[in-house]
Amino acid sequence: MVDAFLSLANLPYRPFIDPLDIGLPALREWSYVLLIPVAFLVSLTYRAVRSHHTERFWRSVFVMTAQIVLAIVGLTIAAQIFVQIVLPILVP
Amino acid sequence: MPPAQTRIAPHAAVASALLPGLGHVVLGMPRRGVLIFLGVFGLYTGGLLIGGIDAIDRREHPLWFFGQALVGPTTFVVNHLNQNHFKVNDQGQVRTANPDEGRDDDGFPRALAEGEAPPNIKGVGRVSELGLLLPTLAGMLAVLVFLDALLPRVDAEDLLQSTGDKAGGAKKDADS
Repeated sequence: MVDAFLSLANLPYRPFIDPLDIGLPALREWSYVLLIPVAFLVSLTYRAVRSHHTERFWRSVFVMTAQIVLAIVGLTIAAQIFVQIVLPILVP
Repeated sequence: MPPAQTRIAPHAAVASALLPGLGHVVLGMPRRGVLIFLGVFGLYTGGLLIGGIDAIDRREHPLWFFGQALVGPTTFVVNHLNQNHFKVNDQGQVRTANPDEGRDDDGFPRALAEGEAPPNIKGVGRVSELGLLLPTLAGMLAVLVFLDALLPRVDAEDLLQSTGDKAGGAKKDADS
């Protein structure tokens, strides 16, 4: 079975059938970069529904994208501080 | 500012349930509908691209499938393809083929021929998680889109309409 798994690396990647990391192994290390397009698509849909007038539509999409990305980065930093600094103090 | 007026548009809601964004096209807001479609299906196809077809799997991920199904019939079609054209029937248990297994015409597992690939490869780890998450996120947004199509504001303009035809879109709806 292990040999069979290893042999997968030699198979051609088939989009939408196989996971993307078969064709693009770097995705395993860089998956967090996907936060930006995901935040953009969420913002695009949300603003397309909620913005009822035309002015500043794209500006509001980019602002919301930035807000989501910054919020996630902030949560990541907070979680990192909690796990690396606060928890060792509470539970030595 | 007076409160926004809403009305009920069941025909748009049905269209939106079939294809997110279509409801807004039916309401006369085609640009808004296209933007919604791009957003929802960008997430959906992104999830499929990242996780592979195993990202949509009613048997293996029933709770995730519930969220993904909110996108509409597309999810059921993809799940049908996955269950009936990629998975193997191993003594009554339907599962993803192992890396050293093929699939015969009746759906049963068989040994792979030399150089042959399995029907599909199962995603693992973060790639699999992203594959599950993105279509589910699309499903949650599709609920928002559905509600907006069901209860549209009558004073809503079609987005970006100011650069094009000002006479069309929801303005017509609002006047009628």
